Amino acid sequence: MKKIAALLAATCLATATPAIAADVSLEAQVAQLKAQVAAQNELLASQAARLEQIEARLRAASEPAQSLAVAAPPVVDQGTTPASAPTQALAVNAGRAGSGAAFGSDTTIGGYGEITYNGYLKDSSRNQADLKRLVLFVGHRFSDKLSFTSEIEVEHAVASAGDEGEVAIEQAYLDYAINSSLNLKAGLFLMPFGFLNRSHEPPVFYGVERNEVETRIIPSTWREGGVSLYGSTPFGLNYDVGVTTGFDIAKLDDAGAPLAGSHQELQLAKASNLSFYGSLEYQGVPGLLVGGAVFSGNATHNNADFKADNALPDFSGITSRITLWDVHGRWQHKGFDFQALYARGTVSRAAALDGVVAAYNAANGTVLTLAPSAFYGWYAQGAYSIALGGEATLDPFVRYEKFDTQAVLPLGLLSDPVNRDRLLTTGLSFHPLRSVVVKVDYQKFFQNKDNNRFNLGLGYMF
Amino acid sequence: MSHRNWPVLAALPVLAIVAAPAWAADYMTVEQAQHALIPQAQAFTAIPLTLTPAQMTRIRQMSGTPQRTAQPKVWRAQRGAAMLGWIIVDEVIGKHEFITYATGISPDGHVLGVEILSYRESKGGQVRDPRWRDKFRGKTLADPFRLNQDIPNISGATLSSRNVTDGVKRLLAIHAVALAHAG
Repeated sequence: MKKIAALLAATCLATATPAIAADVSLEAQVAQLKAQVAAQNELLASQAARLEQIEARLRAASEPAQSLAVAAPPVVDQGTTPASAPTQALAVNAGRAGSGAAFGSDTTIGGYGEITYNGYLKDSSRNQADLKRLVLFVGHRFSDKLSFTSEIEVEHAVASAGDEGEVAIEQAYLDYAINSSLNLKAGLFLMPFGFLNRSHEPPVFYGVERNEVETRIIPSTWREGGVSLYGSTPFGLNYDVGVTTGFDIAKLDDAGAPLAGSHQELQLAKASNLSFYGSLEYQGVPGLLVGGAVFSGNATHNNADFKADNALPDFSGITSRITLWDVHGRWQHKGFDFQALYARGTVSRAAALDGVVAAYNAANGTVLTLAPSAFYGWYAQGAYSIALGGEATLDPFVRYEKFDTQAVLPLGLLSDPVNRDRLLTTGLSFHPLRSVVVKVDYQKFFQNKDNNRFNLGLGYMF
Repeated sequence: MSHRNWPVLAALPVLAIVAAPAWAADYMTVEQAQHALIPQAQAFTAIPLTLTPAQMTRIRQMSGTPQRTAQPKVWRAQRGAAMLGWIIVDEVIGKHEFITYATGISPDGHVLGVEILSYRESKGGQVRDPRWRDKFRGKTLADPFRLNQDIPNISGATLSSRNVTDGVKRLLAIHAVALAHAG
């Protein structure tokens, strides 16, 4: 019996040994699996973190597009008569068709430019091709009421010490919309005279070259630094009044364009005295515009130029005022476009100024420009737009101008014939698209016949 | 103006701001525009409209300008059971910023009127002039919608007036393609 018991015990022992071994193996496997699960958890956590990073990057990358959409959120709730604020219910057409492209919802860019060719009939050595200007517009809206407008211009393709080109800021001002008929602007802005000074994009004016009157008499592009209140009334009257910088007659350097030759363009502008201007335009009848403007300001600035540099003419004791006014009208109807303008400027105490300059020239052998007492110009223009299908139009035009930048000279001085003329300009504007124009015209100068020329131009705006 | 008058310069903006009421660029709500355009209507019901690519192509062909969104914002104007017309609220760009406007269109496709809801630019706001907007009244897709032809140009606001003109024609095309037979 004892033997049997011993045998059974031995058998049990013998069979028990593999069982123990199996338990040990199982534990090892469990431990291994646990390690694998932990590793996988770690991997998942790591991948989740990476995924989060990627999503964050994607969100950041898509923010501009979302900002864009802010300007044009859809009116999703199409319930009956939404009570939402108008700005929320506005934006429907999210496309940026038309001029100007938006960055986000607040900053816009645009621009215009022109390339011209002048062919002189009597002296081909004067023929010239020029990338006349390229202007970039940058605007920014800070809020519903406050915005910024700027134009940066490069003229004649290259601006450097050895070239005739220039880089200029044409506009840079802040605009505050006070109410629907009253706005305030401050900074460097265009003066509201004539037509060209405010609308000088090549596709919107006739002729390759800007007209002479709005170049020599109104010094387009004429801008001043200052503050202005402007707006429009419900009955179609637009007004613009302001206090600005003005001209500096001591720097006059062009008898053929007295104001372009003495404007300051807010470049370290002499501002001992400020100027005033006011403009009224009536547009109460669709298609019609009649208006006028007047500017007046002291142009000697307490003899500032001489005080800064005693080598210059001394205008002490002379206070001179430059005044400019214009009247203009336009009637557009059934394809016709008639336009006329008259502008006249005066320089007070021109005799005293020119007495100083004449004495200075005699003493120093210089040829500094003498100021006129008065200068003027006018033009009348007619055009007709022929639809060619699609957006294309062909617009023939004719314009007659007369100008005299030395209409009245003091001291019995004789004017230079090159500074007065009558001219006839006739040509075509072809618009393959509305914002692109190809121009060709011929200009006949009645007085200075050597200036007769034909012109070609390519212009665009966006 | 002598240097002693410089304070005038500083006072101008201050006076203007203090004296003026608060104001934003919005002139009219959608609801106000709806009632101004179809005053006899009792209810304006929003119509969820999604244009197909083919319809958008057709709208471009008919109007000459691209339709950028497939979901124009459209309301049906009714008086009782009578359908009086449609209101579409849309946007076009002016010179650099958007103009939001509403156009009322009769069931048979005539312009009932145009209202400017929001104008954001500092210049060119003459498109708000009711005398100019009245020039659209009664027009149909058969009209040329050409600036300085059947619609007067606004000197100094050429881009704004041109783009609103194009926009109204495009809304008539939306009506013709997607609404005229919807009742």
